[in-house]
Amino acid sequence: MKKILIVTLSLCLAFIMLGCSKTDNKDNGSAANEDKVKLQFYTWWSGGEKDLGEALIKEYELLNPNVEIVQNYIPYGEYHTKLNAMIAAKETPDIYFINEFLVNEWGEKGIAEDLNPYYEKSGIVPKDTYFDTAIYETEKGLWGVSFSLGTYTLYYNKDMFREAGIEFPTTSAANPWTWEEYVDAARKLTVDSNGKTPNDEGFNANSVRTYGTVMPTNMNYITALLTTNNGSFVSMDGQSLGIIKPESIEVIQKIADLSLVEQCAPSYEVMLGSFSDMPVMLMNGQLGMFIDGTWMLPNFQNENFEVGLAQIPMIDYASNAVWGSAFQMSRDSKHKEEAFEFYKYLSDYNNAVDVSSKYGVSIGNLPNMISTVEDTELNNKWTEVFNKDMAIVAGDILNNDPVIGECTFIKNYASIVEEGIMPKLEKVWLGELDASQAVSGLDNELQTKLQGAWQ
Amino acid sequence: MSNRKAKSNIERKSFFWGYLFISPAIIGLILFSLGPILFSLFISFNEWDMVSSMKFIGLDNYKELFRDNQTWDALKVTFYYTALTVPLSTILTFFIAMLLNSKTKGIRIFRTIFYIPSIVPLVVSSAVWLYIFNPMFGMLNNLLSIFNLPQFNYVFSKAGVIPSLSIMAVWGAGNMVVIYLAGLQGVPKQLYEAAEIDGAGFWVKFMNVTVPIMSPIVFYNVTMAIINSMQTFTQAFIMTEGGPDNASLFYSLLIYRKAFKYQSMGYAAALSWLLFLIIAVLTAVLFITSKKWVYYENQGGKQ
Repeated sequence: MKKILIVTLSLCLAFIMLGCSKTDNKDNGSAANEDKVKLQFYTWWSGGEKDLGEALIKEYELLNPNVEIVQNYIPYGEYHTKLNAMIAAKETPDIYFINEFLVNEWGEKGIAEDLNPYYEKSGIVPKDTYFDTAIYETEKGLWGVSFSLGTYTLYYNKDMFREAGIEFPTTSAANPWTWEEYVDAARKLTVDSNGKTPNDEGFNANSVRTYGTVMPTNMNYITALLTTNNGSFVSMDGQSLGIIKPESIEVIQKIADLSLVEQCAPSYEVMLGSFSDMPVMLMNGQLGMFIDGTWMLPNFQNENFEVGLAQIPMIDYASNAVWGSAFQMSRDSKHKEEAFEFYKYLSDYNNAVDVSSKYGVSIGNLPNMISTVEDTELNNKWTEVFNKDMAIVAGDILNNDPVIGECTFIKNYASIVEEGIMPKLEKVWLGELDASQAVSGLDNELQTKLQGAWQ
Repeated sequence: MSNRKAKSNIERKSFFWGYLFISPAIIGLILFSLGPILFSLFISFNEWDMVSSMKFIGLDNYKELFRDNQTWDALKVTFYYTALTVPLSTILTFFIAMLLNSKTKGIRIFRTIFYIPSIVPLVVSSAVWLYIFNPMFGMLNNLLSIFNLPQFNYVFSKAGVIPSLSIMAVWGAGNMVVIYLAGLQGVPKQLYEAAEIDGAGFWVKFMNVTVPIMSPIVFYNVTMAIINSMQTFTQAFIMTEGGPDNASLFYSLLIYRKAFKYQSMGYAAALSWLLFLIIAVLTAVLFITSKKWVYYENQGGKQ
C-alpha cells in the first residue's frame, strides 16, 4: 500500500518536473532539416506588410535552400516587451525589426552587430546604395539600414471633393496646399445633420455627420508637419527643446484649431472614441481627408478604392519628414555570415519590387535604395507594381530633399517626446491650454533627459 | 512511555505526509510568487533596463517616485476609481442579490444573466464596452439621441472616464452577486420568523437580521473589491491607454509603462512596492475596523 503511494507520488512529481522543464523538442524535424542553418527572425509586421514579408522570405528560401528563416510575428504593442525579455534571457534573435529611435541605442548597448565589416566584405558602400535617412550609423558602427522608408501624405476622398466643388491638390511635392487651403477645404467638407457647413449660419457642431478632417495629433504626423515651419520637438543637436520655439508652437496651435476654432475636425474626445479606423471612414464618406503614413495605402488598394493623395499641407514652406524602422543583426548570432546575406536581401527594396510582381502582394512603403528611384529600369519596375499616384507623390517627396525624421537621431527620444512632451500637448487638443502655455516650463522639466544626438 | 513515543511517531509521520501533499503548492509559491517578490524588492534598489547589467543606486528610485507628479496623478486616479467603484458595486450587487433571492418563476435565468458578465474575459468586455461608449456610433449615445437627450463622450472625456469605467465594473461584478446570494440563502429562517412575530416590517428585518448576518460576506467582498480596484489595469490598457490627458492613468498602468515601455525595471519595481504597501495598509485598516461592524455568529455578536 505504502509502496504504491510512494510510486504514485514520485510519478506525480516527475510529471510536474517534466511540465516545468523547457521543451526544446520542436526542432527535431526530418533529417534533411538538420543541415539547414536556422535564422530566428522577429518582426511586428501585420496585414499587408506581413504578406509582403512572407513573400520575400519564401523567395529567399527558394534562392538559398540551405537556410531556413524561422518567422515570428509579434503585435507591435507587445513587440519591444517580448524582445527585451529575449535579450535579458540571452536569446536575442539573429535578425530582428526595431523601432527607429532604438536602433542606435541598441547598437551602442552591445546588442546589435556592427554591419560595417560585412558591407565592406560584400563590396557594397551603404552611403552610395541607400538614402541617407535609411542609414543608422554612429561613431562606433553601422547599426542598421531601414527596411524601407515611410513618409506622410494627405489622403482624401475624391468623390467628396467633386461634390463639394473643391479642386484636387497637386501631386507635386514642391507645391502643396497651404494650411489655409487645407482648412478651407476641410470646412467645406464638414456637414451637420441639417446639411449645413461651418460656413453656414446655424451650423450645429454637436451633430456633425461628416467631418472634413481630423487633428493630426500623432507624434509622427506632428514631426512631419513641424518641418514645414522650421519647427521640431528637439533641436538637431539634441541639446535643447525645439517645441518651445514660436514656429513649433504655431504648428501645434494650428493643429488644435482645426477642431477648436475651425470646427472642421471632431473634438479630441470624439476622435479618440470614433475615429480609430480612418481609412474605412474616408471610404464610407464619413471623413473627407486625413494625414497619415504612406504604409496606410494598402488599406485602400485592397478595397480597390481610388484614394486621393498629396503632399502634406505646408504652414510656411513645402517639406516632409522621412524615415523607416530597421532590422538589426544580433551580436550573439551563431550564423552571422548567413544572417548578413539575409539582411542584405531583406534591405534591398528592388527585391521587394520583384517579389511584389511575382506573388501579387502590394508594397506600402517607399524605396530605401537610391537605385529604385534613379535607375530608369528599376524605377519603371517599381512604378509598375506601386500605386501610380503614390509613386508620383512619394517619389517627388524623396527627390525634394526631405528632412530626416528627428526620431532617428535624438538620444533618449521616447522619454523626451513620447513621455515628456506629448502628454502636455493633450491639454492643447482638449482646448484647456493654448500651445504656448502647454509647452512653457518644459525645457526646465526635461533638461536632464536631453542627452544630445547620435552621429 | 512507549505508548507516547508511538503516538509521536504517528504524528511525525502524518506531518511528513501532510507536508509532502502540500509541497507542490508550497514549492510553487516559493518559486513563482515569493521568489519574484523578493527579486522585485532587490531590483527596486537598482537601475536596470533588462539589457545592460544592474547598477545599485540605493533609494534613488524611491526618491524619484515621490518627486514625480505622475506617481501622485496615478494614485489620485486609482483612489478616485476605488472610492467610486467599491461602494457602488458593493451596494448595488447586494440589492441585486436580494432580488435574485426571491422565489419568482424563471429566477435561474435572471441569476445566469447577472453572472454571465463575470465569465467574459475583461479584455473582451473592454472591447465590447468600447463600442457601447463610442461617441458617434455607440449604443448609449444612439439611445440618448432618440430621446433628444444630451450625449456624452464617456471613457474618452477627462471627466467621464472614471465614472464610465466604474459603471462597467459594476456590470461585471456578477461574482459578488453570487457570493451574496450564497450568503443570503444561509440566513436562518427562524430569525425572520421570530422578528415577524415581534411585528418587524421589511426594513427592520433587513437592518437587524439580514445585514448583521451578511456582514462577514460584505467584509470579504469589500476587501476583495478594494484590492482589485487598486490594481485595475486591463480596462485602461485596452480602452483608454491612460488617456485622455492621463485621466485614466491607473497606478498599475504606470508601472507597466515604466517597466516595459521605457525599460525602467528598477523604478517600476519601486512603484510596485509602494502600491503593495498602500494596499497592505488599506487592508489592515479594514481588518482592524471590522471588529466593530462584522458580526460572527459563533463569537456571540458585536462587543
